[in-house]
Amino acid sequence: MERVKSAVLFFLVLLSMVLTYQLWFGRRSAEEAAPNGYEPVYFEEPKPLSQLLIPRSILFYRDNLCYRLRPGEAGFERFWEALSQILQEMDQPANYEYGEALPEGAALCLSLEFDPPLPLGPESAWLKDAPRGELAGMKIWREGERCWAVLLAGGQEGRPLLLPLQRGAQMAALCEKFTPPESALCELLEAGELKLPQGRAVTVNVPLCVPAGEGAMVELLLKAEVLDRELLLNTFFINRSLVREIRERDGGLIYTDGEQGLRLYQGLEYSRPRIEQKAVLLSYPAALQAAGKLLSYYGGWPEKLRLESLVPLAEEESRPGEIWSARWRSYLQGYPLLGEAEVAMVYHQGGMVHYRRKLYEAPYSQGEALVLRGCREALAAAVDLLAAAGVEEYFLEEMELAYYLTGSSYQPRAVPVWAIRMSGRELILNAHSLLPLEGGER
Amino acid sequence: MNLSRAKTILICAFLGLNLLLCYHLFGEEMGRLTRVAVSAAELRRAVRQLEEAGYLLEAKIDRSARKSAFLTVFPYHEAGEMLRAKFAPAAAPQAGTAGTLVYESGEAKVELHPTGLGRVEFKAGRELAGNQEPVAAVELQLKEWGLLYPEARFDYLEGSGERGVVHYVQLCRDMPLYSGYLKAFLENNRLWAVEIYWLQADEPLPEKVMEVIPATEALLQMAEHLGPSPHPRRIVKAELGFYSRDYDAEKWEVPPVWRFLFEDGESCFVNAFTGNLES
Repeated sequence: MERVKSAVLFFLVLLSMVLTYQLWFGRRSAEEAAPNGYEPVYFEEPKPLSQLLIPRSILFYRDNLCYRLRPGEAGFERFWEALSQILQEMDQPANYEYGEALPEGAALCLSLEFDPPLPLGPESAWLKDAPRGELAGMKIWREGERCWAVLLAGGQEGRPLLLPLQRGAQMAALCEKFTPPESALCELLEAGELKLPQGRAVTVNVPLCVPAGEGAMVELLLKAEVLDRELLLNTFFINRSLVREIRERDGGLIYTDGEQGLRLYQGLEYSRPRIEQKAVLLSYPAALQAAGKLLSYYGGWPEKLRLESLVPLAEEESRPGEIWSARWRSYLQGYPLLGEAEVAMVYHQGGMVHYRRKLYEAPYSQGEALVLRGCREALAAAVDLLAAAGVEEYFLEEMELAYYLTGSSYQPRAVPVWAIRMSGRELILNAHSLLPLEGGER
Repeated sequence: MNLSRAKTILICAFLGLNLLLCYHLFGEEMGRLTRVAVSAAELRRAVRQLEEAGYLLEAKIDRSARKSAFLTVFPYHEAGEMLRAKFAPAAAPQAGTAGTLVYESGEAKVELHPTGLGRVEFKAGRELAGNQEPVAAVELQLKEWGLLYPEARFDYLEGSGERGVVHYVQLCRDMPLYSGYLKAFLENNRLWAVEIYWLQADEPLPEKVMEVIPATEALLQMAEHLGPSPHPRRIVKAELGFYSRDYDAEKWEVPPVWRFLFEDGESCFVNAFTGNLES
């Protein structure tokens, strides 16, 4: 009996030691404990405000000739980098005012158009001490080593600003050294009536800069952007265990947790219709910053993506400025890729409401460069199309060379087109054959 | 002191100490095994809140802590095919709307939807066995045709025998899968149509099993989503099952839901993981 008692006591002592050890050391410390499943994940760090916008176009003037520099081209990047830097350094424009007029010998050197506009003022990266505003354009004039900037804000041109001497000299040197490519040569269509071949005519609403003569562009074979699906899902859904998958017959995949839905099929489409946070009014620079941040988090910035529009939405349930819409397009070899290839986002301060992303890269070109038809021929073809549709008056609003997404989903292609907006209609004409593209007319 | 007595005292002391240590170490887990998700007081409170919002709870509430997982399902096209083989075996297919195939024989018209839904309409109706309750008569007829699968469970009768719909729900692992159903349409003791949408399910992964929200929480979420009812509405059934709307998809995951059935035949599905309404 005593032996049994001893054995039981020994066992109980041993057990108490084990249990004490378990209680003391067995539990993991708070630092070691499993996280609650929420780890902030995103594709890339947000870009600074100064890198969110680039000009729509930069026109370079030399010897009474005008050259259009396109996004992605070396000249475009160099000029915009220098000018953006100058605008960031010039806090208060009033300190640089030169007088009422430019000196007589000054010649127009560069002209920039911002669409969407460049934000100015305390919340912006450019002209930080200037009153809040938006810059729609800027002209750079030059005489010797001195340069002046004329800003276009609020629909009117401001007084000439003398650029800081050192910066002005650098800009002058940049202009001096730059040799524009022949293909960038442009023709300015003045506002008014424009005669076209075979007795036709259009009215040009605003002065337009169009490629001069017959250019050449290659057709491009495209490759759809591939995003890391796991990363994407973790970015959108905090708690993956609540997310269910729906495999559609067409190959599409839907992920939803009941509140938000993500569809992956030839790009991505995301929707979260219910806004849970209290809506906050966003200023234009804040909206720009928020759009940039969301794009960085949800998919990132591919190369040569340009913000095309940023506007507040007037929704029934919100005040203007609470919900914004942003749209980006890819630029291939300097030309925008039109068609169903863009990033579109509706968002508010708390996050996204809708997000559509379908982007392509152009790793290969196909065949020889195609000789493009001139702008007058393209306009004549557009007039013929509109006339056939019963339109009698032709007002040219916009016209530019672009690429257009076509081909099958297995092998998408980008073909050179003339994108023309005339009398309220958008026409997409193959720039080589001048035939309208299927789905191109709106 | 007597050594034997000392040993006894020490045994008692260490036994007590070990019990205390075990309680601290495993008390929480043991409590979880036996605990109920809804206490009586919580249930009373929920019933009161529901009444204030115009909802009268007349269904039995499962108060235990339940666990579940998403169920991966895909359409069982053979169910519709069985209708065709039974009621229009020799008919040639005709194209209907939205990809539907229509088979027409002298007595019936069978529609097979691409989603897997099958429907047969009897041109002159089918007489049901007399002297029987409508549900029993329908059940007898469906069994005779071989349409009442073993996984089908009677859910409710909407309307009456004069003009009504008998609803069956598909069972999956002893839980109702509300997305899969069989409906029999009656009028004047005649069966006019049968609609069947049956699903197949994959085995849920054990590591994906999670605790679901209690039925009372789901009820309150439902009341919040639906808003106060202007006239009292009776909830006659409350049950945990699976439901999602049907998709034109190859395969999809269905969440566990709390289904609340109102006396007028309307069902309300609350996602048992998130508390959101499933529509």
